[in-house]
This record gives sequence, C-alpha cells and structure tokens, in this order.
Amino acid sequence: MREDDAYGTAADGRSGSDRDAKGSLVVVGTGIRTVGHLTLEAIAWMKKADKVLYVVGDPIAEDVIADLNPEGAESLSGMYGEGKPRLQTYNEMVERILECVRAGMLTCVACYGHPGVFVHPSHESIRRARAEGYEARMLPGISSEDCLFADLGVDPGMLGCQSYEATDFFANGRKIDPTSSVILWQIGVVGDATFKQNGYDLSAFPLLIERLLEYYPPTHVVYLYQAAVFPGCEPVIWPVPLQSLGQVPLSAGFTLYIPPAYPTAGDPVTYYRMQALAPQSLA
Amino acid sequence: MAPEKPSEGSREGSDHPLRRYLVKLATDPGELGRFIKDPEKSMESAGLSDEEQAILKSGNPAAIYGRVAGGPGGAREAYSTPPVTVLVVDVHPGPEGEPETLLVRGPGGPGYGYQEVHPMYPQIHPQQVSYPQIHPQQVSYPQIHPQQVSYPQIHPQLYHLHPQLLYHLHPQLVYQPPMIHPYPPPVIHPYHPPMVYHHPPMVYHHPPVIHPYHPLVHPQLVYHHPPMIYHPHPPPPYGG
Repeated sequence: MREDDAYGTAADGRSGSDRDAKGSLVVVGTGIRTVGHLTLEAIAWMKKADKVLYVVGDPIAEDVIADLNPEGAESLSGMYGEGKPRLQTYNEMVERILECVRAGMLTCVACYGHPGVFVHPSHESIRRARAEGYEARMLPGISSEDCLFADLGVDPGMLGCQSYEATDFFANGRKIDPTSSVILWQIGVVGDATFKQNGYDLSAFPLLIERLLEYYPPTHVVYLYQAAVFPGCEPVIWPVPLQSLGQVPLSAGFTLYIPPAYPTAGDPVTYYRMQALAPQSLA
Repeated sequence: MAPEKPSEGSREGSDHPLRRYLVKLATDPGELGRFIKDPEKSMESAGLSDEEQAILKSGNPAAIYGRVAGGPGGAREAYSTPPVTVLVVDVHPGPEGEPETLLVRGPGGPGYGYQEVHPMYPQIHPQQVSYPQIHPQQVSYPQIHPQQVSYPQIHPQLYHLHPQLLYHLHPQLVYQPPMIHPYPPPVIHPYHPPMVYHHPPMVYHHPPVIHPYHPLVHPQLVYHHPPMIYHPHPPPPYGG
C-alpha cells in the first residue's frame, strides 16, 4: 500500500480522517472567474479534504465546491455581519478553521481569487496552525491583479508597479513613484473597516483623491477596473480623469489602476558603472 | 466571541441546467475546451434551452447571475441592459422570511435600468496590520503637540529674566508662544511639475526612452546569463 504524503493525501482516495487523527490545513484559491481559473491541484485538494471551508462570491464557485465535496463543504460567508468590523469576522473564520484542524481533519480552505492576496484569515490560520504543530500550506490561485495585468495590458516588469490597499495607502503615508504604475485595491471600501451589504461609507474618499493629487496632475487619466466573473463577460474598464474620480459611483469590487505620469529618469552614473563592470564579470 | 453559525450559502437552484453546465465547465477541462471551440454545440449537447444559451452568450453578468441564482434573469434582461455595469448597489427588502434583493444602478440613471448582481463580499485587506501604525498617540501627538514643544522653551525665561526686562518683551512672546498646529496644513494642490509624458491608456506601453545622457536602465540589462565558465560534470561518454 502506498504511503500518504505529508498532507494526508493517499493515492487510493481515502479521506484524511480514515487514516490519522493529525489534522492539516491547505488553503486554495478558486480564482476570480471560477470557470477557467480553478486549478487542478485546488480541485484535487477540495476533493480529498474532510472539510472544505469556503468564502466565495458567486454561486457557481459555491456549486463547484459542494459538487467536489458534498459532505464537507461549509460556507464561512455567514460570519459577515452588517456593520460588523471585518477584522472580527476574519478572526472568527480563523477560529473555525483551526477548530477543524484541531479535530484531526484534513481541512481545505477555499477563497476566491488568490488565497494569499487580501485574505487575512488564510495567512493567519496557516501561521497559527504551524505554531500549533500542524502541517499547513497555501497553493496559489489567480488573483484580481493577474486579471488586471491581462485585461489592461500592463507588464509590471517594464515600468515597475506599486500595489497598495487604498486605506493603507493614504492612512499610513505610503509613497508613490509616479513614473511607474500604481494599483490601489479596495478603492470602493476605502476608509471603512466594517462589512456593509448596502454600500460602504466613502466619506474618506476625498482624502484619497487629495493625496493622489500630490503626485499626479488633475487631468491624469486613471482606470477603474473590475475583472469579469462569468465566462463570456468582459471586464469593467473605465478611464476617468483623476479630478473626476470622486464623481463616479463605486462598488466594492473596483480596483484603481494609475498609469505612469512622467518619464523614467535614468541613473547614468550607475548605468556606465554597470557597463564598465560587465566585461569583468564575463571574463 | 464565539463564531457565528456559518451559513450554508446560496445554493438554491443548484440543480438548474445552466448552473450545472457552468459547474461542469469549471471542473472539466475537456468540456471547457469544447465550449471554447464551439460554444453553441457544447451548450446544445448539455441540454441548455435557447433562452439559457442566449443568456450565456449575452456577456451580461447580471443576466447570467440572475439565471444561475434562480432569479428572474432571462433573455429579455440579457438584451435590454448594457453588457457590464456594476455600480451603485441598492438593497430592497424582500417578502417576509425572504432575503433582501440587491439591485445595481448604472451611471446613466434610469435609462440603464436595474441589474441584479450577486453580493460582492469585500476583499479582505490588511487593515489589521496597518491601523497600529497610524495610532495618533503613538506617532503624531508626542512629536508635534504644541504644549510639549513650545512651553518648555519659552516659559523658563520668565523666571530668569530680570523683572525690568519683561517690559521690553512683547507680551505675545511671554504669554502666547507661537502656536504649532498639531497637524501640518493639508496640501491640496501642490505644485506639479510640467507633465512631459502622459502614459497612453492601458493598451500599450511606449518603448522605454533611453536618452543618451540619461539612459533608462532596464531591469533586463542588469541580469546577465550565468557564464558557462566551468562544467561540474564531464560530458557523458557517448559512443564507443
């Protein structure tokens, strides 16, 4: 009989609880568009797990998970509450995840997008599970950023790319280099740390625009972006002058992409030093 | 605080043909390949009705969601609303015992109509990490509170100066030290350097401009392929 691997997966298809009482954790992503973004290894882990705890945003993803693991699928979305601080919800999710791991289950956590991008519970549950001696790991998924690069034709390797959570950007004094691209996440919930079903409090939004105007001209065109969720649908891409950004109604799913406003300033000294050193390294 | 009971999610209508078909597309690469190659044939073989096929081909996420969620999404919606408009979310209370209905308004007002969308759960963000960094009592107040900066510098002079000298001091220097506002004045429209180059809209990038005196250092220029200097293993003894 073949041995199980470190995460309790057996080639004969037995579930984790049949084999040992030592729980483990694997975190997977369902991608932004479930049809096409779901990876084979994510499917495999969801099938094998004793318990699949999930936070997804569309019914297809929910059906997929329930289809892959009818017995163990459990949604964590009900932990959100109107006006409830999201951090509190996240901590409750972590507790529920660890509860399953401690019970000896091979636990799979499935989040939409990439499970490690803007997902506090996934990182925290892995950290705590490892601290308690359990095996825990994360598998990558397709994030909103991946979709943005594809849909907007942005190559972060060409001009650089800075990425900030919107509230973190203006509340913590993050710096911007306007000669490279900038992505601000969760611009539709900026300044609001709670969960709201009926739109978020965007009263702090002018502060964000004010901060951006320190770096960019008012006429600089920025892009509101939202990836497509269903097959055959197109992403939302709205070019908006920075000065008009406050007049556009926002939804929670929007991301702001800011293209470079100024040319890159090279460093000739370093450039020539690099050229001078290059032959030596090749010798 | 004890965690709330996790919900079972919104699985009503999970046996709907369109929903089952999309689940199959998500989990079966072969079926997805057939859909990409010939959507009509793939949908027909899956037993989707003409209306469902029209919805799926419409590219309208609201109509697709309306149908897969078991709502009123239909071909009429698919053709009567613009392809993608996810903007202002309105919540309408449903009948007693029923969940609320989410409606989204487009930018053009009533002309855009309403589109049903699924609730977009907020992306989880690193607030819990950031907030401790900006607590005012940890950063701002100890550094710039006027009473901590000004008074220790000026007030002692009141005791060391000869009484007669006090008459020569301007009263404001003695009793009203210069006020230092606890927060720097907000900079709303600072000077912006003239915009030399405006990036084109997203579709393509200008090629990197390498000025003869200010060359753009492209990252790829830095990297050199590892030189093939040594061979840790001798070549295999091919042939006889």
